[in-house]
Amino acid sequence: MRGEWRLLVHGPLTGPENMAVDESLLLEAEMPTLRLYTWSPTTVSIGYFQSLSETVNLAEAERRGIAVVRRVSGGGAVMHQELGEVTYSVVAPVELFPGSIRDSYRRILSGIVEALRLLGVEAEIQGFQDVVVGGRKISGSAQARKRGWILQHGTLLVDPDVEAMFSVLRVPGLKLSDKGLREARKRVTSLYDLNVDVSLADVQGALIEGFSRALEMDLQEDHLTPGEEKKAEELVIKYESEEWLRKRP
Amino acid sequence: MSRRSGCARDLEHKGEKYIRISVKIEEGKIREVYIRGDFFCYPEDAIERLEKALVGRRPEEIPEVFREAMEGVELLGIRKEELLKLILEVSTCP
Repeated sequence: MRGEWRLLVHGPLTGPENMAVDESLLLEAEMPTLRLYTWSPTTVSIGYFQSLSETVNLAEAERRGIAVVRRVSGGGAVMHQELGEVTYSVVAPVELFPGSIRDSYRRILSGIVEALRLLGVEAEIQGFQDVVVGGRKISGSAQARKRGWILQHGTLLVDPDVEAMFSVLRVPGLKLSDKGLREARKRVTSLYDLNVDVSLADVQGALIEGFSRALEMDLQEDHLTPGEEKKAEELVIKYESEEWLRKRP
Repeated sequence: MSRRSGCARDLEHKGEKYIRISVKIEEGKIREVYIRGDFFCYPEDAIERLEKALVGRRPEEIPEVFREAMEGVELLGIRKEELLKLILEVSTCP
């Protein structure tokens, strides 16, 4: 049965603003919501349980003007480049996703697989949180749960600067030599890599269609409610704080 | 720090997800424990509660403390038994 969902699409925000909006939806939303967004400046988001200094080369990030924010969700670090990727959030009551947590991840990821199919790319789900093309990762997601609601957010790589990505992200077991960078490059792909020449708006359009097909959404474009906006304003302070960023130093 | 009074240890594990645990043991008790990595835990604050619950405990008390703190908690990327095994391993001074 198709369900009513709200669609939120807006221009680029900072890392703390984006993460505050996502958490405000997790805490306050009264309606299932699909949100599509981008970031400015380029920001690394790290997982809730990650060590800041062990995950991010902070000196290199600063040198390149790249910001860092800690997410409410677990998982690994992601670089959200201004024109390099599109981020999505799916926020919904757990009842809409019966089964295990892994099942709910995969069901949401099927929307990304569908979006990629619409762009002419055959992709598949790997593990529970990644979407791969020919074994190379094109999308990673992370899920948080509170008050019986799910927030799953993730990235779809459009045209990333992979050299910047692996200069700033510390990957356990990967040395930052040329060989290490070559190895790292082999692990990821993007629409650009796959010769799919599309704008970020085209990719957002494909995601809207992909999610609405896979999750049977009847989407209605909307805005944050005053309650969500107020919560987001409060949460920005947390996400901008050193205390939160260095929660796991 | 002498072997007799304690030790600081660190353990990395890469299974489905990466996890790293550091502990300080003093006079046979856990003084500090720090768990981090790219795994998932529901609810998220269970890991902080586990870390707090382990402080001041002797290694032999770990399994019980762990079971209590992790009851009803779901991990993704590492199994509970695996995490317990790693905490026990890292909390034993050589």
